[in-house]
Order: sequence, then C-alpha cells, then structure tokens
Amino acid sequence: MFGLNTQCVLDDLEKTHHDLDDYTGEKPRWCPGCGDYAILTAVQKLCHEEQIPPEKTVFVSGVGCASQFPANMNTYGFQGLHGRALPVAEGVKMRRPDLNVFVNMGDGDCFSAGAGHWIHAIRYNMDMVAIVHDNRIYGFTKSQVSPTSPKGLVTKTSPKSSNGVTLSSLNPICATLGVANASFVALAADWIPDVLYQIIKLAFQHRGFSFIRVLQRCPTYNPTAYDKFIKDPSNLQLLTHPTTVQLSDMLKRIFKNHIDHDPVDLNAARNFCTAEMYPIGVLYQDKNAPVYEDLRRPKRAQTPELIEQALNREFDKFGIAAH
Amino acid sequence: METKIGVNVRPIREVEDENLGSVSLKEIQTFFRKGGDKKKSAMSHFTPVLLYPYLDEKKARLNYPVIIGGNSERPVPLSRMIDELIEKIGAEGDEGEKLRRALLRLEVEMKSWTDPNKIYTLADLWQIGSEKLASKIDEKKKEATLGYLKTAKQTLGLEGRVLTCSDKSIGALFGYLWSSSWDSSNKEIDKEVTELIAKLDDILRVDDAKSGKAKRPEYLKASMGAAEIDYNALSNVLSSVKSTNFLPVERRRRMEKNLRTLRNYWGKFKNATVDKIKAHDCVSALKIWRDQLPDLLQFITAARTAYLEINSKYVKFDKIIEANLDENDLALSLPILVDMTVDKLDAENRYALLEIANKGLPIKVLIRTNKTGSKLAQRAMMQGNLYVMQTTASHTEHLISGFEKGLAYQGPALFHVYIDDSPRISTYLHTASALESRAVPAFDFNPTGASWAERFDLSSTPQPESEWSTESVVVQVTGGGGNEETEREFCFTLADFLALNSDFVDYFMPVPKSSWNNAMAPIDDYLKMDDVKGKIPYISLVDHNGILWRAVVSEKLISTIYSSMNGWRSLQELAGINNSHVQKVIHAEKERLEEEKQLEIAAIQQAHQDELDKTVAEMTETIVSRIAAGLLTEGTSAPLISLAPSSSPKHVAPSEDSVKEVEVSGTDHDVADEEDEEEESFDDPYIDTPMCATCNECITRNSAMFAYDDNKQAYIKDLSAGTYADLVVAAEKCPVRVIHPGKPKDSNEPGLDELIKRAEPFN
Repeated sequence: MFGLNTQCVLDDLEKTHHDLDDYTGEKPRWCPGCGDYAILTAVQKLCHEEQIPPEKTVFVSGVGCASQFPANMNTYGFQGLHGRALPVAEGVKMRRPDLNVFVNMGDGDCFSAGAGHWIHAIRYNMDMVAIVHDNRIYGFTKSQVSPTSPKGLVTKTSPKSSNGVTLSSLNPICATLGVANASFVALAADWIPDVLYQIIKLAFQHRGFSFIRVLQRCPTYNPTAYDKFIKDPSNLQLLTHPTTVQLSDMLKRIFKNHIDHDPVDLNAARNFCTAEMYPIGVLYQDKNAPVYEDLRRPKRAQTPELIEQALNREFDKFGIAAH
Repeated sequence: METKIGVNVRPIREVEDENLGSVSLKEIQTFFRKGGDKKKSAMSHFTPVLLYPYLDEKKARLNYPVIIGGNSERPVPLSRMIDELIEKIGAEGDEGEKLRRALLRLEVEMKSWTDPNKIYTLADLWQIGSEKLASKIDEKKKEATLGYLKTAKQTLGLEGRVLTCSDKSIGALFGYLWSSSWDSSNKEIDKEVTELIAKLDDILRVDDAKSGKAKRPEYLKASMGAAEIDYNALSNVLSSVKSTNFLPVERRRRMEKNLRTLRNYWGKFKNATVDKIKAHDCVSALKIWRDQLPDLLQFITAARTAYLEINSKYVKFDKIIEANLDENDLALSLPILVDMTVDKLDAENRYALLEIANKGLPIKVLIRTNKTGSKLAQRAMMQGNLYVMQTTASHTEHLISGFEKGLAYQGPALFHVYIDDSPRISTYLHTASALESRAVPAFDFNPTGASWAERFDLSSTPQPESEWSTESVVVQVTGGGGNEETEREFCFTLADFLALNSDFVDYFMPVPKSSWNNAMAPIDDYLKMDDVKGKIPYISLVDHNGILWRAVVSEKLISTIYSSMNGWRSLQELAGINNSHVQKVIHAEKERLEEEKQLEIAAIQQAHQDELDKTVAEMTETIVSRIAAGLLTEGTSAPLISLAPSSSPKHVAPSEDSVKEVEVSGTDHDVADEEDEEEESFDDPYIDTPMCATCNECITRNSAMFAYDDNKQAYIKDLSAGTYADLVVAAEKCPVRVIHPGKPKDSNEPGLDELIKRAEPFN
C-alpha cells in the first residue's frame, strides 16, 4: 500500500543484535558428561534465537549443581538460599514485570527444601520459566537422597545396609498438575536436545508460570538413573501436537513411541503422568489462567520505560514545544 | 533473529475512554446534514487508519529516494538497492544480520537527511548517512559498524544521483530516461545514415582520383607512401593517359551539397542533449518544431537523393513537404521534450497540444499537475495516436516504465503526472494517497496495441479490479478487562484522501468510541446501499496516540464521492473490469445455457422414464409367466421369483494374483527399508550432531579431535588429531551414544582387533 516497494516498515533497528557468545558467562564447572550442559546450551540457544536482551533477563537459582546457572549466563543473576529461588524470582517479577525471569533449581532444591514455594508458585502463575534439573540425587553435596530418588538407590544417606531408598519417589509432574491454576507443565530429557529446546522455547513464549522438569543425567553420583530410557528409547513416550512439540523425521525414527496429545486436555495429561513411561513433551497448557502480577499490580512498577515516561510528563509541564 | 519488519509496527488501539469526550447522536445527525466549521475542526490531529502505519517515512521503505545512473541499468529505489546490496554481499549468520542492520540503519539515516529540494550524488548522501549513523552508535560498536559500511561501499561503488519525491525529480527522471534511451534507440538509424554518408563520399573520392590533381607527384606520394618510386615519372605516365567518365558537374555539385547537408544535420542529431531539446510548454515546442522543420526536410531530401545517387537511379522528385513526412521520416527529426506544469496549460497550449497530437509530431509532453479529477489524460487518449500515461509521482515503477514506453513510441506522448504538497503529511504520502483513493487513477494508453485491450492498461492502479484499495490492519481492542488483537479490513476511499486536505476538514467530524452508534456505516458500505435512510457514513481515523476514531462524513461530500466513483467505474469498464456490455452478454449466455440445460435434463428424465416403464413391463411379464409356470409345476422348491442379479463385481473376492501383488509390494518395502538401513551404516566415523547433549565428555577427552558447532553440539573436527582408540573411548563414554567410531583409518594402530570389537555396538 502507498507504493511501499516491499510492504514493510523498519523497526527495532537500534536494538543490538546479540551473538551466542553475548549470552555466555563463566565457564561451567559441572562434571564431564553432566546433563546440565545440555540445559545450558538450550537456554543460550533460546536467548540467541529470540534475541532476548541480556539486560532485560534475570536468572535466579537456589543451591545445588544447577545453582551455578546464573553465573554461566551473561545476564542478570541471583543465587539465593536452598529452596528459596522461587520467592526471589517472584519478587523480581512483581517489581520489574518487564524482565524475562528464569528460575533454575535442582530436584532437592525445588521438591524438598522449596516444596512449599513450588506449590504456591504454580498457583500464583507469575510469568516466568522454572526449570528443575532433576538428576534424582543431591549431587552437589556428594550423594544424598532427594525426593525423586528411585526406591532402592544406594546413597550416603540410604546405605546398602538399609537396602537403599525405602520410600517411593515423588512424581513432580503429577503433583504440579494437581495444583490449582497450573498453566504450563512439561517434561523434558537432557539427552533429546531438540525436544528440550522446543519445550524451553514454548515455555518462554507462554505467559504464566512455565514449569519444566528436565530429566538430567548425573554421571558421577547417579549414573544409571536414566539408563533404561537412554539405551532403549522405546521406554519413553513423546507427546507431540501441532501447537507444542513436533518431531523431526530422525527423531520419529529413533523414538517410535510418540503420540498426539492436545495440551488443553488436563485429564489426559494426568493419565500420562501416572503411566509407567515418562511422557516427554508439553503435558498441559492453559493460556487463559490468571497471572498474579496482572491481578496484583504493584502501585509503582519501576521499569526504565515507566520512569522515563514519568520524567517526561514532569518535564513537559515546563517545556515549550518546538515546531 | 532477523530485524523486525512489518506493516503494523505502530500499534492502533480501539479504546473506550471518557477523557476523549463524547458526541450525542443528535449532534452527529446535524453534522451529517449540515457539515461543520473549518475553524473549529480538529481533523489535523487525525490520520486515515490505513495511512497511519507509514507515517514515519524514515522507517517506511517507500519508492523514494530513487537512484539514477547507478550500477543498475534502470533507476532503482534506495531501499531496493540496499536489499540487493545485502544479498550481493551474502554474509550469513550473526555477521550477516549485523551487516544487514547496519545497512538498514544507514538507509534510515540517508532518508532522514535528504532535503527534498536537492539532488544529491549517491556518494555524498552515503557519506552524510554514514556520519550521522556513526554519531549515534556507541564507541564499542562503531568500528564494527563502520567496517560493514566500508565493505558495502566497496561492493556498491557509489555511482549515481539520488532523487526525492519532488517536482524537480520528475523532470530529472524524465530527462535521465530520455538520455539513456537516446543512444541505444538510434544506433540502427545512425548506422544507416553513416553508411549513406560514407558511400556518397566514396563516389566523390573516386571522381577526385580521376582528376589531374590526383596525378600530381606529391598527391601520388601521399597516397602511396614512402616507397622508392619516381613519382615525377609516374605522374608523367599517368598524365599522358586521358581520363574519362568524370561525374557530370551538376551531379557532382548536387552530391557535394547533399553530403554537406547530411553531415551538418547528423552532427546535430547525434549530439542532442536534454538541455538543447527541452521546451517549457507546448507552444514553444511547436515553435522549435517549425524552426527545425526546414532542416529536417532538407536532410530527408538529401538522404533520398543520396540513396538514389548511390544506386545510380537519380531522378528528380517532388519537393518534400511536412504533410508528406511519414513515421520513418519523423524518426529522423530532433526530439523535443516538454516539461511543464498544468498551470501553463492555457487555451493556446491546449491548441498546441492538440496540433501535436493531430499531426503525430514526435514531441513528448510531461505535464505535472496538482489537481485531482482532471480528465486531460482521458481526453488525450481519445486522439488515438498519442501515447498517454497518467500516474502519480509516488508510483516510481509506473513512472519509469511509462516514460520508457512513451519515449520509445515513434509519435507524440503525453505524461500526466500528479504531485502535490501537503501541510499534513509528506509530498510522497499525499501523492500516494491520491493514487490509492482513485482520486488519480494510474493508466497507460499505447496506440501501438492491436486491440483496445492491448492499448489500454489500468493495472498500474493498486487493486484495479476493486472499488477501493483494501488492506488488513491489526487493531488492539481494549475492554472487558483485557486486550484482544483483531485483524480488520479497511478501505482507502476518496473520503480518506479528502480528510487529509485542509479544504475539506469541515466535512468530517471525529467521534470517539464511546459515542459510536448503530446508525453509523463504513462509507464503502454506505455507498453500496440502496436505502441509506437513517444511516450515517463514516471513515476510520487514528489520533496522535494511536487511538481509533470514526469520522462522520457530511452528506455534502457524498455526491462528490459518487461522481469520482463513477469516473473510476468508467475506467474499469474501459479496462474490461465489470464491463457492462460483457456482463450483459454473459447474462444472456448464462440464460441460454440454463435453458439448454433444462431441456437436456427433461430429455434425460423422459428417456429414463421410458426405460423404467419398459423394464417394469418386462419384469411383470416374467413374474406373471413364472407364477403361471409354478402353478403348473407343483412341489418344486426353486424360488418363484429372483430379482437379485446373478453376480456383482463389487462383491467378487480378491483373486490370488492380487494377494500375491500385495505380498510382493510388501517385500519391496522391506527391501527398501533394508537398503535405507544399509545406507545408514558408514565406515567413516561420525556424530549424530543434532542429538548431542553438549555434556563436554568428548571435548574434555580430545579437544583437537572433537569440537562444538554454532549450536554448541559436537562434531568431528579433525580425525587425524587422535587415534581410533580415542574415538572408541569417546563413543563408550558418550552418555547419549551419538558417537559412531566407524572403521579404523590407520591399520597399524596397536590393539585394533579389540578396538573394532568394542566399537561394534556404536556403529
């Protein structure tokens, strides 16, 4: 229209284009073979592909192997106390809704010390991405039982003499789906990088609390936790849908056990998570769930844009327009 | 990852806000009937909704500025030049994106600093843009950005001039296109005339050679060179021989005169420049034509005579006069270009234009106008032998192609180009709005076409098949506690164009959403209604804050819009769009076909009924005869009546062959699968890179052999940087089993048998 030769208007040119290196912070110190590397790579790739401004991004963590994540990202970061990553992230989001908030927790961090915060964070449904690096053990403190440790696992706190872990492990996905106002629930595996990336991207695009449990290998303290699924991909069930995860031909050949699942179907999601196989994919998504920061708008949000607008309003009272 | 480019980057919001004021239904109705007051109008704060996204011209990629005389053969808009440059450099990935951004930012800067009254060289404007851009970038990125610009500059070469959307530019573009077409189009004629001159000259030279002068020793020496010859002796010998067959004196004089005429005229013709051939109006163009006519007639007479002389067929012919000149003769005349404004088109000039058209003189007339609704071009079209183009200055593509075609046409041409300034928006957008709203439709009339359909072309007007130009715009609707984005279609009507004009502001009254009512109808719908009673037409506008309003259009303006619509419909009909004659024929043909169809159906139905009657009669006969036979043969268990067909192809069981076929194809499939799997086994080692989980295991083991790609996933960087044992151990340690060691390259490596065995599960 109006003789535009390519029908377009240029915008956002002033924004800096970021390389992948722009998102790379300190060199990670995880053990070789650790699944955390895959999560870090997927998150950095997301930031690069989406060109998320580093200065508008915060990574919050608690304590554990996963907690060094903020240091590995060249963005703002906050390493909190064990189990307290979520309340810190909620505080950040409440005051600065313009920031992209990511939370990285371990299984012990989120499901044990932070269990109370976890349940309420799901209910608050604040706009952030929460990633649980679930290696089913306390690896950072060198092998203690975590809520997701499998029954019979021998650790320093569940020795062989007492037949290892005696309780059944927690099913975090099932628990999350049981909380009111859950809006995005997904399960990923670090050894399927393409699907991991797709899920993290979908979580970032979702407005609300996006909860992702990532099955993460710990080659040092729990090396066989996911062997059954790595060696025989048919033990995993991949959930696909045109609106969520889609598999490449190669992945379809490797993971023959894939099924179409509409993420709006909560009952189907619950059935999947109680089945014996791990359902990898987006289990549930409700785009209309109320977001806490919308309901409880702070009286004075302090985004740089709002501050600038307020200052301009004040200056305009005294300024003379130039024509 | 790419720069955000879209048409709707300036958000438009539909919001019900009490602070925007309110208008009662009575006020709306009164305004509709009576119109408003110019002085009280607030229309200057509003823009038609479809124009709103493009208001920031620096960012809108418009057809201007245009580069002429650059690397491209034809004039090219700056934005396209930048796009082509980016493609030519071909940088990819992050570097490519950074270069692209740098060049697009340069484009914005170049547009921002363009003075519409100046014509820049591309090199100067590039320099200005680069400097302005450099001053806005922080020091850290300056060096890289300037590096990108340097690369681009070297690739481009920076030849050419830059034209903005202005009166001056149209003339410059016209002149440029004439100059660039002049040389190429006259090569054929030049060759012919030059040959003619050379042949005539040769005849005279041969005659010279026979003369006594040519036998003088110095002449002989000059023509034969410095050979060791006694030129005096040679001269004596030659002089003793009496030359014959000299050209008759009268013929020789005639030929000499013709040669002079040809040389003089052709020199002027070949060296014609825009400045020498430009006239400021039609009257002066005609005067120039009349002044140069004797020369042209002399030239044509000389050329014809020369042609006859060369072929020794000279006979005296009638004097050539203007009325005898045909198309080919006129092609030899010096061209005349007229560049004038419509204000100068008084009665005298109109008469001169008519004379140019009637005589078919090769005069190309450019008339720049700031008036909409002019029928000048349409009337000129009716002359039949005049190339006519009507367009707006904003439509550069049409402007260029129209100029080119009109200049190439042997006869006269009229280019009617609309351009007008506006206090509200830029000249470009104002002019483009005239085109979009059908206030100035763009069309061409080329007399060389064999049929009307080939002669008249309306395709340069946007969406020529529609009543109005339409486009979708995303509107954010605020209400009910949330925001919703909807895509809506809007028309750009004549009312939208007039709303931009300060002379018409009293015909529009903006109404905020809180005062919208059901009586209001979009003007395009209103104009189509048979019964408009109780309806109030409106156009959609956007205020400075991006809020959507409706503007009631006064009844007084409706007749003007109807009249313009009718003008547009007439043009559409001429172009074969919704042509009433064609529609009438189609309707009649449709009715005829319908009638034929009905008759055909009736005939089929009758035939079917006849067939049915016949079958029923036969069946009845059979049944009756069987009943009769049954009654006669008592005790038979056979059924008396059997209406079922004896066999049906649909129920035939599959034959053995077909089963075999299925089996065979199944076998083929298996074979194909096996082949696929065979293809997947390699002797060379490889990594399923997309499946790599970036765990650092292999990199830690041998960072020279393994490396990460751009996605931080592993691949084999250098196979020779490690041993086969390294590969096998890496495969064993890889937690996601994506490393495939293949077969060893070095057959002398120790312990190979064991390593190959260990590698087997991973291949």
